Amino acid sequence: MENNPFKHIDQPLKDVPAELKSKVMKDIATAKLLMDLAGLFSLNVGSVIERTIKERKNKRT
Amino acid sequence: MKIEQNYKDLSDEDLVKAIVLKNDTLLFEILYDRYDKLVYNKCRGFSRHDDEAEDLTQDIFLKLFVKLKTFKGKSKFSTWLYSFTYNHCVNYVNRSTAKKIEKQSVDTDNLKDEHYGSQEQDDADIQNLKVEKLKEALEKISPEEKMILLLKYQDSLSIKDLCGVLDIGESAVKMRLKRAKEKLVNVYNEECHGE
Repeated sequence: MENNPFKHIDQPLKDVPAELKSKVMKDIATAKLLMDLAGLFSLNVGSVIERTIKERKNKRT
Repeated sequence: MKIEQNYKDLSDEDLVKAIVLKNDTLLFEILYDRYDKLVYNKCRGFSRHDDEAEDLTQDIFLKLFVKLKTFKGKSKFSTWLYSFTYNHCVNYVNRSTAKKIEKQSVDTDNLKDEHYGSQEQDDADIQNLKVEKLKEALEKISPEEKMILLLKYQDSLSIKDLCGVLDIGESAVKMRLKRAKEKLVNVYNEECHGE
């Protein structure tokens, strides 16, 4: 489409407020901490089963 | 320093893979720098004040960090991010102003479901719209309709891309697009005649 008015909406783009980046990165750091903590208390069922089967096979041989 | 420089040269898709692999916040910062302006300005289109757009942007990037592993690389990362951003904005608008939008929207139940295939021909209607009036008309249609129109005409997604991000078939995409366009043009014309 040659003359597309949608491309001209809200142009030029407005700059992001500088302080937003630090707010976002603070959020991300907290989220990472919570995710890492959750990882410590969660169980990877798949790997446990895999390891058990492997160990059982080793005992048999 | 050199390692960080290497990551800066990565494509979006490879950068996302690296972030997911290490859950690395420093790498996420690179992704933020690439897309902050785009996300912020998309949010401005769905909010009444800049403060609101700022809060929306902050929420989107937090959600993005947590959900980044759900990006499977079926489309370009930017396409996926457009959809991610719009979905968040649409949910936000629906939560906060659902009733208001319902009142302002035009009844589409009586619109005929035909000629969904004639995409290029229909675009002639869009080309003649004035930017400011178009912006006002976009505020008066539902956020879902606004989203599909912006994805198609502002972000230049193809019908195939739209099928992927909306997770619906090609004919459903064409039908939604046609309905949204008809509604937009109706609202636009009503505004022009109301002056």
